Amino acid sequence: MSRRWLKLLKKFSLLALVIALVVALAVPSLTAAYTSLSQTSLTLSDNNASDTASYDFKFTLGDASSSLGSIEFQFCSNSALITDPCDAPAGFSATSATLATQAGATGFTISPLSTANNIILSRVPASPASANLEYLFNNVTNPSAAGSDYVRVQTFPTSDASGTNTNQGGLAFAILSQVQVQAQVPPYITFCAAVTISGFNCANAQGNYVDFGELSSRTTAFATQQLLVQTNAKSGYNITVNGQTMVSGNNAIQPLNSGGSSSPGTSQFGLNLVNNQSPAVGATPAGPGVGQASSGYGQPNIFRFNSGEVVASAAQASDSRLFTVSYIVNIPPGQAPGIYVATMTYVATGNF
Amino acid sequence: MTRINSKVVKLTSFVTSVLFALGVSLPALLMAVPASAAQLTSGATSIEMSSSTPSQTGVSYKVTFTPQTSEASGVVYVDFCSNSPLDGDTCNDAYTGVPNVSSVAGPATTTAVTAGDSQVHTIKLTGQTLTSGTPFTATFTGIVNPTTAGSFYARIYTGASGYTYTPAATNGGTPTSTGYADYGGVAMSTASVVSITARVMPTLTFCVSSGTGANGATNPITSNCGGTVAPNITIGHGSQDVLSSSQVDTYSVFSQLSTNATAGAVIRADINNSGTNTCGGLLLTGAAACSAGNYIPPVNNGNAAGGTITAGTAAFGLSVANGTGGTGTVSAFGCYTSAAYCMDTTANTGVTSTFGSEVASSTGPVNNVNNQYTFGATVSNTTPAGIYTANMSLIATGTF
Repeated sequence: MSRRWLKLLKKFSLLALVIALVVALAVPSLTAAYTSLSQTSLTLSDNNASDTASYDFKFTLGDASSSLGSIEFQFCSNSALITDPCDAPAGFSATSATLATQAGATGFTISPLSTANNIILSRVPASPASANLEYLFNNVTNPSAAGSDYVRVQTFPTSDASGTNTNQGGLAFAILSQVQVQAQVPPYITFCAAVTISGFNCANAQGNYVDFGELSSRTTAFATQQLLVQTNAKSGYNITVNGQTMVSGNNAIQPLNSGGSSSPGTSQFGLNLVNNQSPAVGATPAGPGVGQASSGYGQPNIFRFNSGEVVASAAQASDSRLFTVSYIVNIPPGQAPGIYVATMTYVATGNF
Repeated sequence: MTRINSKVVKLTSFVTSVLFALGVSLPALLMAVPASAAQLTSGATSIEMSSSTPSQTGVSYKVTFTPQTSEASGVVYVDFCSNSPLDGDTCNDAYTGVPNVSSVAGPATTTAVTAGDSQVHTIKLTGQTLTSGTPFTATFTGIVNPTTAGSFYARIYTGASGYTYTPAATNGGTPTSTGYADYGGVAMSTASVVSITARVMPTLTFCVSSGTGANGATNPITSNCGGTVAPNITIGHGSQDVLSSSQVDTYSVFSQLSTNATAGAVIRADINNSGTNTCGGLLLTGAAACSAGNYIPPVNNGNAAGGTITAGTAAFGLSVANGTGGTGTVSAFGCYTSAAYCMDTTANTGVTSTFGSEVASSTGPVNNVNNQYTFGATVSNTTPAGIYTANMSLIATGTF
């Protein structure tokens, strides 16, 4: 009995020993030999696919006592783990990357060992001045596809990223579409002509008939009307006057084609868009908008009329602008009697 | 007998496998006993170690057995040897193969027994009530495991109150066990620590989508960035979707963020990727740069305080809502948290700077958290007609 138990116990003991040894020999050490980076981040200036961007890396060394000769930034589309194979992100390229700034451990340049998806910074090995490091790269081409990508960061005591690393870490970043915001401002122009327009509002326009009364060769007949214009035309507006001088049958009062001052006793018809003293008629342009009377129609006491001419204009979009048109009529002593009429049409054109 | 042995061996192997998977020491399962003496109940004797790590200090050994002989004030000896559990065999007692019990503590009265050499590997426990057929358990603490991985043994003796067990005086000497009541042997093992490594990859998933419904107020994003709609939006009203000076128009986009970054993530807005939009507003199509008359300006002229957008006063701004859904928190940041709008153009930190303006952030990992970004705009009577655009990047940065 005892011998059987003894043999059994010995078999068990041997089995236990073998198992222990197998465990000890077959199971490799799984503990990591590297020191981890912490506070690792990557800030992109632009995360739109295929754009050229700046990449700002920040991280803290877990082992800041070892000599630091090189830092490797490997970009992968599949994994941030150094033990995994690395698939370069499609479209990504650091070939033209430049090292814009460096902090914490300086004196690095981009090694010629760098590749399209692997930036290696190199310097003469030395202890890092700080555990908190930062490196800014410009001219990096983003991956061409939206989604998550990864960067593996390692530090080495050698200057060519060879051998065992002293620190390692990984991070993820995302590429996605930009937000495209659009808004449309429709073109508009508000214009009205009337005898009076109050409140800079065409809804208040009143009257379309100007009566000079009985003409005399001894005094100047004058009257006014108003024009109101508002537009978001980027290059402003033009207002033209269209029509003919005052006529009665075959008898006409001469238009001031070349402009001139009012002279009673002569045949004159003209207008301007400013305030006058001789005669005392008219007003300067008013309102929050912009725009002035055009050349020929903007000089006080000088009156002019040519059909189709621009009488007022602005070079940019304008809020409400009120123009007062001043008309003068003079007749000679021998002016044929009759009812003299003129129809004026004003056209405002926005320059969009 | 053979059949019984096979079953025992199979049971032994199975239990061994299970316990190795759990990373605990092997309990004692089987021992040899002299046929001529009383024996501890087979299958009921074990010494359970709190740690199987070589050289580990402060280890507890839980000794369990079922005596055959009752003792009113019995004594228990546990003697550790590296070579054999058998009574009468020599005992190798170097600390490479046996535990050091010189600082052992346990039930009253527990003492460490010293022999002729300096090795202390024997525990004595007195004043114990031992009842035949009733399991007995005593836990001893303060034990230092052998320094080398491998198997070692314990010889357990019980006796009357006057029973004395003498350990081997030298390494490899033979203990004196005469006069015991019950005896049993146990096998144990220390083993190398099994290091378990699990790799968790850093992750960051971030997406942006146009809202749907009136003014884009409905978030279409489902979990894990499903259901996104291209973030191309038009701010306006009416059938033509236009801006006017009579009202403020809005439209929303949404983002979803998931990351295991331990220090969380920051979301930034950058409106000047092209280098053209240096003013932070909506730019008239075809304009090469911001200049008078060709852009709708940022609200409050890009002031970091933001402001209210008032109908008729041309302005463009952004308002960010705190995150909803998922787990974790992504909070709106700075001037973007207010009920009004903001489009901060401060040099180096604003939306026109290289890395944009921070608009939201988390302080830890988050999963499927959605944020709403509402763009507002209006024009004045003199805002030139045309189509205005701005391209904004929303960029998430995790700190791992």
